[in-house]
Amino acid sequence: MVNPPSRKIDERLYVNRYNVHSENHLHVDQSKCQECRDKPCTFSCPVDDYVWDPELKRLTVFYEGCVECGACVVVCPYHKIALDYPPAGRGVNFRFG
Amino acid sequence: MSTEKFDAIVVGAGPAGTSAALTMAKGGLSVALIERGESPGAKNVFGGVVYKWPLEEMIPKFWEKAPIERKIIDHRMVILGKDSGFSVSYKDDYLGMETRGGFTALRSRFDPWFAQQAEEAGATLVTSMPVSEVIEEGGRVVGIRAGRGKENELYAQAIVAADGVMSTVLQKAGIRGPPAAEDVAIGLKEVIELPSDTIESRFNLKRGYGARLDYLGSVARGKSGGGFVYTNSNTLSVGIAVLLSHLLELRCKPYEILDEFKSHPVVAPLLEGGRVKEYQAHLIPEGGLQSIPPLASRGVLAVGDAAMLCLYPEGTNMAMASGVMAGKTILESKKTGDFSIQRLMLYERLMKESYIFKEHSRKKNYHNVLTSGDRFNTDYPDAITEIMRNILVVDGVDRGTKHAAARKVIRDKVGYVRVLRDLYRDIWSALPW
Ligand SMILES: Cc1cc2nc3c(=O)[nH]c(=O)nc-3n(C[C@H](O)[C@H](O)[C@H](O)COP(=O)(O)OP(=O)(O)OC[C@H]3O[C@@H](n4cnc5c(N)ncnc54)[C@H](O)[C@@H]3O)c2cc1C
Ligand code: SF4
Ligand code: SF4
Repeated sequence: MVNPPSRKIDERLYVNRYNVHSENHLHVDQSKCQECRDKPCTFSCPVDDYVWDPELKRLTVFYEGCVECGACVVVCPYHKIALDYPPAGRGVNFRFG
Repeated sequence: MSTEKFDAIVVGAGPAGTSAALTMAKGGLSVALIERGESPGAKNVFGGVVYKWPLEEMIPKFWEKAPIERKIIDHRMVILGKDSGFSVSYKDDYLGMETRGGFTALRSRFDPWFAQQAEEAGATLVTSMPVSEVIEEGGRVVGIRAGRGKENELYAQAIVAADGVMSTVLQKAGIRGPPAAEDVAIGLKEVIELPSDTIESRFNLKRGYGARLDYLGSVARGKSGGGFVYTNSNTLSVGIAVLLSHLLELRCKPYEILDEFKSHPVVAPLLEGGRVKEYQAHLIPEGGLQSIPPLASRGVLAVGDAAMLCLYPEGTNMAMASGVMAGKTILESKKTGDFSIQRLMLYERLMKESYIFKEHSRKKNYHNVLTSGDRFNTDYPDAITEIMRNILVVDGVDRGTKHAAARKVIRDKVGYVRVLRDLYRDIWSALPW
């Protein structure tokens, strides 16, 4: 994959400690995304992990900044998002919490 | 890890799970406490106040050794208007003695310390182990799996689901699904660093003592939400929570609400000059009584946030208390050698008589107030601002005229009947105290 474009949220996330896993732990079945009216995953995620590409008509999922909160799973009206926690110590590691 | 069999497996080393594990380990049971984080707390987020009860029952005089940030002596409740704030505060050194008024903590320090107490009592803590499946046999859950292969399986007589609001165990066991958007809030928090002297002078505190400021009213663009500023040793925990179903109506990003809160004229001066050290998010159960799943079902005891027991602003104590009761239930089963599903129902009976259910029953209208209570987020804050501005500005208009105007504001904005009804009923569900 090409380098993802830098997003505004990155400024917010650079203070966090991550041990990023090589595999995406957010499994999105995009079969309903086109007809999904509000695309709530794109605004509910606190770290902007979901970005809709109107030309390609698909979501880009930036799992690296995920704080594993579960909001995307709850808001998807078609229940198409599964959050499989990253393995052994991977993902976000809060230093304060 | 081999396919050992424990008396109990506890999934999740948060306040609920560790309390259950500690209770059982003290009673001599073999307990596995399974945590997905590389250490307990690494994945956890909360506002910041832990209460004396029921921690003290498990660890007498914990305040002499626990990683306490500050002992809370000042409780402030602030109703925010658009640019204003109306506060009620109670400050009392008595609350600081033996952490009677609660204490602030950071999860990455508190959770490992607490889990260590369970380990010292004899529980086996396993970290970096995300449970992904449950193992079922004859209609009940008999074990858990983390990853693939036999070596990642664990079996026990009873399973405690302490894995928080998104509980993998309860979902995989078919006991409940993911929470509904009306039943959870998204909480966002920043840890903001400030020198401890600055915190003490800014919040008018003695060394080692702290304040908790809980904000209601206009926090989330007229929707149900709240904010908080809690003092730690040399950081502030600053955050907001907004009901997910309301966020869906607002169609805005949750951090926009956090940023608005941080820049509110009543809040901003408290944070000035601080440096953000961490940005966190987590879901908070807000569904109240009606969202609580079966507590003892199919060999699984649900505790803490997994059982949706959090009740604003109390979550850790509900989690700990339920963990203790689950632990006691399994201890009873061990004594009699009877781990049957019926026997484990004791947990539900204990819970129904407990503080947790008394509080949930008292606040049974809480969820209703949250989902339909626009007046608490808009009408009352607006009315308070209008009345206070009018009354506090001395401009030659006599107070009699101003009080009449105040009554008119209440009548027009809210209505007397509603005020009375709210005073009688709903307000007690909406307030933190
Ligand atoms: C922003 C915010 C502010 C809050 N403020 C307060 C407050 O000031 N005071 C208060 O008392 N409460 C507060 N709460 C609520 C409180 O945090 C919770 O009620 C409490 O933490 C619940 O404890 P628990 O042990 O049930 O769950 P958690 O604390 O969520 O612990 C669950 C544990 O299980 C682990 N886990 C999850 N899934 C798995 C899996 N599949 N495998 C292995 N391990 C797993 C997690 O890593 C975690 O350690 C707040 C919550 C939030 C989000
Ligand atoms: S909310 Fe669900 S269906 Fe809608 S765009 Fe996001 S992933 Fe697709
Ligand atoms: S779990 Fe939370 S942080 Fe991660 S992608 Fe979903 S909403 Fe975003």
